[in-house]
Amino acid sequence: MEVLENFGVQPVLLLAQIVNFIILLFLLKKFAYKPIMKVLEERRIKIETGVRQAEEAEKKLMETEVRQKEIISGAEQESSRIIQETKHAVKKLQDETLVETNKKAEEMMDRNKEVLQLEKEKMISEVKIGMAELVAETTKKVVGKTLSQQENERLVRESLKNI
Amino acid sequence: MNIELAPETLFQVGFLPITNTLLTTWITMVVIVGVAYAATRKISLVPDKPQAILEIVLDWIFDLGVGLSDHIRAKKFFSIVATFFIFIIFANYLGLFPGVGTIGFYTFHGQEEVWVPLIRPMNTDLNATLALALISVAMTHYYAISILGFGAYLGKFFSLNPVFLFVGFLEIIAEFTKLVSLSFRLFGNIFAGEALLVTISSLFAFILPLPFIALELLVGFVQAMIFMMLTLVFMIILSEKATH
Repeated sequence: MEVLENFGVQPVLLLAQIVNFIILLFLLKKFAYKPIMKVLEERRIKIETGVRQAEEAEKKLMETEVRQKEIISGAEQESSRIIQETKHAVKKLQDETLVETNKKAEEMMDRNKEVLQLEKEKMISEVKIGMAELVAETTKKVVGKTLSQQENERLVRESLKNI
Repeated sequence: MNIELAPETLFQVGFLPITNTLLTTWITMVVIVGVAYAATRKISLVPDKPQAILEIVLDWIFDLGVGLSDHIRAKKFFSIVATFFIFIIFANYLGLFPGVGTIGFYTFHGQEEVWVPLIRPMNTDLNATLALALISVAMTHYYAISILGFGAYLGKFFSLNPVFLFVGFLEIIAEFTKLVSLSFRLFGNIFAGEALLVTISSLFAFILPLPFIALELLVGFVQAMIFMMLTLVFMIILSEKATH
């Protein structure tokens, strides 16, 4: 223990230094360790959530891209199908219309022909009657006398026969 | 230039002699707490420079503990171990400031006139280093008991198996050796450094001491580091569950 005395070790001073250390320990705990450790932990948590969110966002973006491609290719198929269908429909409609129009036109022509025929026949008979009367009138004038009713009719019939 | 092994008493307050190393200790404490307060005054998630530096140091010390043991024990040992490192490195570096060991006065010690420096580096006083070593060893045993339980703690030193009993006996001696090695290593290194600087300065005070001051910067860091690491390792080893 004489060695310790040579080095100036005194129990009081030893105790004083121990007390100094304990005081410093508590002050550093209050002013350094607690706030710094808290802020380090907070930052760790914040970075962790940030990284996780970034990963999630990336995954979501990839999923969206895949879905986008799917939608676009689906839409392309659908649109080409619709175009094809429309073409078919138009062609069918065209054919049908053509056939119908032709039929209608033919019907119309037929009707026209009939009407014309009737008209012609009517005209012919009218002309016939007019001619007979005219012949009768002319004959009357040429003959110079009025024929009897019976003679007139006979003459008409005869001339009609001769025409 | 004569350097005393024992710290010089400046004056006496009651039963407590105020030595120059005790004064330096208080100054060191004020500086450390001031720095810590300045660094954490405006604490935020986005740190300013002082906060970032303190964060780096504390995170490094904490990671040392995690790397050597586990998260629970690292958390338990952290504040003691970090305080050792910060206290010792500040004390060592403040001891390199001009004026430390050179500002002082002559006083009569009995018949002869002696030189008394007003400020003397904290760790050139065995009282300080022995106090640190006592705390280190005491806390090592305290943590071992609190982690292992008293029975398992005693089982580390005492056993019915004569071989292990002998080993346990050696380990008890080793505990006292720790006390001596921790305190005298720190004291010896810093005291020798201070003596070296005083001697060199008395030979030629300009330029010449610069390389030695650079050396002392290294020694100051290394000694703080060694004290911290040894304490941490002793704590971890003693709180380890017995395998035999």
